[in-house]
Amino acid sequence: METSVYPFFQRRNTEELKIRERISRSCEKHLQYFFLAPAIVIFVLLAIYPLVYSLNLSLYNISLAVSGTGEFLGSYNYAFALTDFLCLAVGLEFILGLGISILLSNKLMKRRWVVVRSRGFFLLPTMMAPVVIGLTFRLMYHPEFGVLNYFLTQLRIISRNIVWLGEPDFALFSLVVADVWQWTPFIALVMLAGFLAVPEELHEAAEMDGASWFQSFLHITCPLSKRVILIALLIRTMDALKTFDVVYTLTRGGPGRMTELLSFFIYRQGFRYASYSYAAATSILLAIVIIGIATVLVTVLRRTMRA
Amino acid sequence: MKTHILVIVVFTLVFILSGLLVNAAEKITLTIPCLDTVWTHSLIDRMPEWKAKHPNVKIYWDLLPFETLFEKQMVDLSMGTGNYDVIFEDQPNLAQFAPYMVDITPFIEKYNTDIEDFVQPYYDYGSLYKGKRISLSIQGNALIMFYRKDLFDEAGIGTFPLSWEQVKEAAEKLTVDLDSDGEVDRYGYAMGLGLKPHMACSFFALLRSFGGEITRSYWFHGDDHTPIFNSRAGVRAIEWLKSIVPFMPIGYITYGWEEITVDLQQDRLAFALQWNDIAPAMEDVTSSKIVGKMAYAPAPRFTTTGGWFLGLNSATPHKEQAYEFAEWMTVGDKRKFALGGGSPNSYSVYLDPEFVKELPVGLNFGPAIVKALETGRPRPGDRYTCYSEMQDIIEAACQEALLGKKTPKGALDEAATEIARLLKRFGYTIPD
Repeated sequence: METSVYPFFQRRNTEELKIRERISRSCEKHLQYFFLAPAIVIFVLLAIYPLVYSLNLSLYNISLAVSGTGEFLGSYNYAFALTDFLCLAVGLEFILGLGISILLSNKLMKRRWVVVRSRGFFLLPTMMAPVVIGLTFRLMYHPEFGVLNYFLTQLRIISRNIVWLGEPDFALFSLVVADVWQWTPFIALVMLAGFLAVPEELHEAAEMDGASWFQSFLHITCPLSKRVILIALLIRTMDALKTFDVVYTLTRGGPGRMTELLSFFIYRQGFRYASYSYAAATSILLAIVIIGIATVLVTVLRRTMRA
Repeated sequence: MKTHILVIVVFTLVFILSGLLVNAAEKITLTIPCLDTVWTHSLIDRMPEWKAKHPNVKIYWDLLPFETLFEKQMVDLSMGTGNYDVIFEDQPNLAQFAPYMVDITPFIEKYNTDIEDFVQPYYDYGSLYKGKRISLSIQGNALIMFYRKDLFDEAGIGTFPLSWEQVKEAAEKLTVDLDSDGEVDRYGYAMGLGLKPHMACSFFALLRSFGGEITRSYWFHGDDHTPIFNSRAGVRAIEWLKSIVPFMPIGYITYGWEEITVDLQQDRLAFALQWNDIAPAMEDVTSSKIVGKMAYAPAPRFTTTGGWFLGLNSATPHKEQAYEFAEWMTVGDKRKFALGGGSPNSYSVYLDPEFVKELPVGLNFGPAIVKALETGRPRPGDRYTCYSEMQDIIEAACQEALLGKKTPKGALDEAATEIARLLKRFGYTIPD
């Protein structure tokens, strides 16, 4: 029987190695959780906890929010203002965004070096803080000293100074303009990504077959970019339903309640009247509406992807 | 080596901990939310005096704009977090804040605070809620007429007091196109008609002047809180406002105190209903074009009063120190406060003719301010916990009526119905 010490040490070292390897693997496995932990904790504290707390709070007053006696969402005014704002803002952003993305996509137009080099410039509005935009537009909308009235009267487009934020016919539109100015570049950017993803060979083939630019855009680019367009619409619709910044900085919901969107109503209930449960209930309802709209759009998106 | 490092680390920790403990034992920090305005800055400038008397009580001022001040305090009080020790209470927020504030009657007795010098009933309107005294008055304000005496004399208009009808006639006369270019260069009159809380202040002054009231409980002092502002007086108030719109600046519907101040300073407005403590801005040579030309008079018939009060957060752990500070700010040296541009709520300041002469122009009305505070009426925030919501409903209705979206009667009726429902929800009695 060999009684060599050396093999004993070898066996011992091997066993130690195995133990160390096991410990190392275990540590690695648990180390990933250790690095993930801060992110998970923050997510739970900032997202999950408030959601659960709001749900709990809303249960105390959900009946008040859906009483159906005109107290649903506070007043029908909010629903109308929100619908008008949604259709105008998202609609305009879509149309303008489409136009800008076509301009920026030098595959579809003849190469324009100015346009190509100014892509970054178009993103500036989206990068600015919404409060800054709101305050800037507030100055521009000033009825007597604002640049908007000045240029429009100089160009004889209007005959008198308009109170953009105070007249019922213009107040909501003024909000829409500020919102469109900020978010159109985002829509344009998303659509541009979709247009540039279309293989160039298809356009070349169409061109060789005698198709015009418009025919190529309509029958090749649009169908292939449908998913991207839907995603852009989905994101902007959900965002528009939650619009608060421009309302707060520009009109505070006035004149009267003509520009009071639902998010501003929730803020009023919570922070001015301290009706936290009512605000929570209404915000849950708003979340349900947003989820509903998002579900419809996602369903359409899925069908497009399957096709 | 390792031992050395260990010694250094332990020593550093002990050093830091001892510093913290010593600080914690010795110093108390009171957090005071405060409106960011000229007269509050004059209060802050007096901090060295406080520090000399109370070296262990540090004051942290949280300067905030008007709306944010209310919201942050409301959240802090209703959540019971106790971030703020002293509460900077605006008079119409009395009923909303009172449930979360300390009854200071024992402190008043203990420190023998002189509350007799506060003008009554104005002081009660901002500090007494259901028999509970919750604050001391730091400032007394009333809406008064700021008018250009030189323009009034030039146009041959009589001096105040004028009736509201005479105010309208004066506004028409004083709306002028100075350079004949077809555009008005100076408007006759303005009053706050923007939201939160300008429209409410103006509407209540007019409503009461025309013989109306907000709810029945004001007239009969009973438990009937039926809204009655949609009466003939309320309609007349809105109709009066509509009739004077042609003589108001463009953008009148968004006008607040700041806009009115700037227009007066820039000679774009002949007269306006404005808070008395803004008067020094008219004499500010760095920004005003009309220095020495502005005169002041009580509003026709009834005015709206308002002002600031200091109370104690019931969640503060430093009630004694907080009360000492509030008392020092309000009762201590009101004359110094007045000289710094403040408008203290005080008989002794305004009824001393020699001292009144020393006050900044615009605050040297003396007995006129006392009269305005005695006879003026507050916004109903002293009795309704849901006043913020009531104010928003009334303001929205008034604006919609002014802009022609609804008739005055229709808008006020709808608002009255909504407010009746609101008051019932909050437990106020409204007989069927």
